[in-house]
Amino acid sequence: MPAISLYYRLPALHSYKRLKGESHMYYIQLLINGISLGSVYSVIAIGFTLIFSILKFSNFSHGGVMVVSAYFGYVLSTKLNLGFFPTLLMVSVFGALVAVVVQYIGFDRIRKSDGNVMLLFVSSATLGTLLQNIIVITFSSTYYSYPKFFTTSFVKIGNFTVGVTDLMMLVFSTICIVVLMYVLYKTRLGISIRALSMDANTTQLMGINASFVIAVTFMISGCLAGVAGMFLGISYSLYPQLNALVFKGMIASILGGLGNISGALYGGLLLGVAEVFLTNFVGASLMPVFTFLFSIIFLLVRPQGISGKFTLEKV
Amino acid sequence: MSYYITVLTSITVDLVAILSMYLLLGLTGIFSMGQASFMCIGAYVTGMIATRADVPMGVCLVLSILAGMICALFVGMPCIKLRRDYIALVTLGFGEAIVALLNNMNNITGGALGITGIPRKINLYWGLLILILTILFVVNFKNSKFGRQCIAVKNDEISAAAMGINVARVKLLVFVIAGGITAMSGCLLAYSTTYVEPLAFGVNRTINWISTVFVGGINSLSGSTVSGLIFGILPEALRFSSSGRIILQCLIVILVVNFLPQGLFGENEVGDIFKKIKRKLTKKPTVWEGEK
Amino acid sequence: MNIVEVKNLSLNFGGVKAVQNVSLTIEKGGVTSIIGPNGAGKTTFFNIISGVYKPTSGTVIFDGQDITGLEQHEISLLGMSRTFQNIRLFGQLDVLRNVQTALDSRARYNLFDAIIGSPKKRKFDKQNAEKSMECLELVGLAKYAYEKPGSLPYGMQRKVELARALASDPKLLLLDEPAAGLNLTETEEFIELLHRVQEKFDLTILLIEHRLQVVHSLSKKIYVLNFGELLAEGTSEEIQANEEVIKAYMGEDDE
Repeated sequence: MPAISLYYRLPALHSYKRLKGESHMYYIQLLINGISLGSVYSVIAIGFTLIFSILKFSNFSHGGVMVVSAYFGYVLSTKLNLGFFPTLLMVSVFGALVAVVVQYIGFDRIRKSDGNVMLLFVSSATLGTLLQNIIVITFSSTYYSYPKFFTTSFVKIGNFTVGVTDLMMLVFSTICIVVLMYVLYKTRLGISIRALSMDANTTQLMGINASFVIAVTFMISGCLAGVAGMFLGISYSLYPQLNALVFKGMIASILGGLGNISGALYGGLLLGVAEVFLTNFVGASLMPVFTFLFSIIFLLVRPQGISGKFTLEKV
Repeated sequence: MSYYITVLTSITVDLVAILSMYLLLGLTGIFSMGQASFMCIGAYVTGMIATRADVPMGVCLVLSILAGMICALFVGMPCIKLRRDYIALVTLGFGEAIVALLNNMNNITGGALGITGIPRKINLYWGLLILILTILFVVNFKNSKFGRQCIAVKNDEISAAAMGINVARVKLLVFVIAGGITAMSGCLLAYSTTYVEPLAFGVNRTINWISTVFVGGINSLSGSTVSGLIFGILPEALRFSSSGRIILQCLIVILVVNFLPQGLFGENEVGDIFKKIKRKLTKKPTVWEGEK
Repeated sequence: MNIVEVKNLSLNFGGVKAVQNVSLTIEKGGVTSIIGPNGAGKTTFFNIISGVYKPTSGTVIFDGQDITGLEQHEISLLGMSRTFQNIRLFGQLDVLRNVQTALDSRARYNLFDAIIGSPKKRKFDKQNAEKSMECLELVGLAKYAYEKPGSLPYGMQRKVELARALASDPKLLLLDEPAAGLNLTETEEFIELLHRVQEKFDLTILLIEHRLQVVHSLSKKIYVLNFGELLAEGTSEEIQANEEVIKAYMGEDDE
């Protein structure tokens, strides 16, 4: 299997200039970049966490859905010359569909036979690899770039330059998160999802159709995967190993407190900011070493995650 | 060396690593997502020593194992008491970190190009010998108090601790042993392929081992071994492109996981057959007296 | 002589006071019981004594030694063993091996012995397997030694847990609602089994029970917990006559 190297291609994302002389401005600039990268990580992490919270397993097929949607967006925008917004819309719908298919093939049967959670995990990792390799076969391993959607690539806000893509990432990630929070906390469907994540058995006794709620949750998660995939495709260029960025989502969601949606949001932002600062001070190539040390120290200091609560195991 | 011998040798090397994955995942339920990095450590230790000095193979083997065990101790100590998902995260991060480090230490490790020109000292027979010794090691481990304690820990940590089992120590022990075995497989890899490069040891390799263990039957050592063999031989026999092979393997995994959730072997071991026959033949009468 | 002395034990979960300022002593030998309505903190109390939870304050002395804050396995190795309310057997080990795990943690051979299969290892394993079999015979399950616990009915699984807890020759045996889920005849059988166990092993039993009628013939002393606090203590007759205990039980639907 081809190895994954996330960190090789990271630096392209941050094409900012050093703000000479004004060091605090420079840090603020870094912070802005970190937050916009972090917002995409948050979107990945939330999609990942949604599934974790209802089925209690790490869904690595999320990465596969991201890649497939990103390529779908590429085809739409180059072959059909669709603009940014229609592409984004189509991609998110496509992501939702793929996720539902994935859940049907990979998890439905295991879940109904009450199988080991680890089986779900293996199934998801396999499906992720499968989707990635289907892309390799169809598009080969070469790199593609999305067309330029916007005429200007930078905007100046006060003294800061912000990449348009970065800004779009930030804006749309925020919109996604706000909409999701609304759905989760204010609608009937959202209540069903949250109830299912707390206690699957009782929820079913209350007359909620678990299969339906799970399918919808996968759709939402796939939708988020589509959006994240497209943004990653735009800012990193497109290649099949984009799949591996799901690990960023996993790290973010664990840092945030596993299974906790708002925790995943903070975890993603934290990870994004930490990565941008680390990239700047130690270089992109050594970043994984520091990410590793950072996560070990973090987990030792705060094992429950940012917003997680300690739950004592019932004996 | 003919093509088939090369393929068989590489399967043998991978099987050694899969055995360590069985110890971790199958026996003890530790989810190590960065196990391939220990193979990487073993391969690099061997590569760095063997290209610089003419040392006997045994020395490199021992040093690789030690390096793997020390690293496993270093990674395991802080995280072994954490929740299982967290262990997955820490090991995953460790794997990425090791690959990044090796990529960057250009003057010592050759950076992204890796190390070439390692003498070829492992042939199929050596590989098989070491594989058999490793299997014996794992079988004896499983059939001792250590193996039973591992299964107890996997099934129920609180209940295991109530039996007087030091859960953290058992887990750390297995983690360190598995680190050593995986590093040994790395040493074999370096000696058999004559080159190492950092990118061969990413997460995908680990996931590949995990799915192999699951397909064979997570609770069966024999199953893990047999499915390692199948996954090694099948793609070579069918001669697909490399992506085709991966897709085929993925399809097999998905089918097995869905329709044979216990894996090909379930909880059965090849050795159990003899035990069962023996038990039937001897029929201890004392066993029956307690129950009226 | 007291085998357990608990002083001012408290445990808070967040804001919930699960156990509050409980002090009690358990005399060596015989059966002592802790009763109380559902949610009275009985199981939490057990979990503190056996090391699953660390108390917020207070001390636990076991057999003359302060064990407050020790790890679960350390406490177990000192000679305290327990069963669980919701049976916690090892699903992948057969019944015999389940019992043997209690002895394995006390078996003195090292990794090297295990790997080469030394005579020492074989001797210990053989001895322990035989001893485990004896324990199974005692509870009447020797016949099922090679079955997986999941294939046995509920009542038998309870007995396997009892055998597993007995195998290590404990000084103190904690039984957490051992009769829960058993019907009347099964419960009587179980009580009879406890008497046999008591005779054969020289041990002290601490029993948690929800229903007063199960324990009153067994125990020489009964403690009553309610809302995490000690409500009353005394002999079976004293407890049955105690106004407060009756009141505490009145609000409760019997199962």
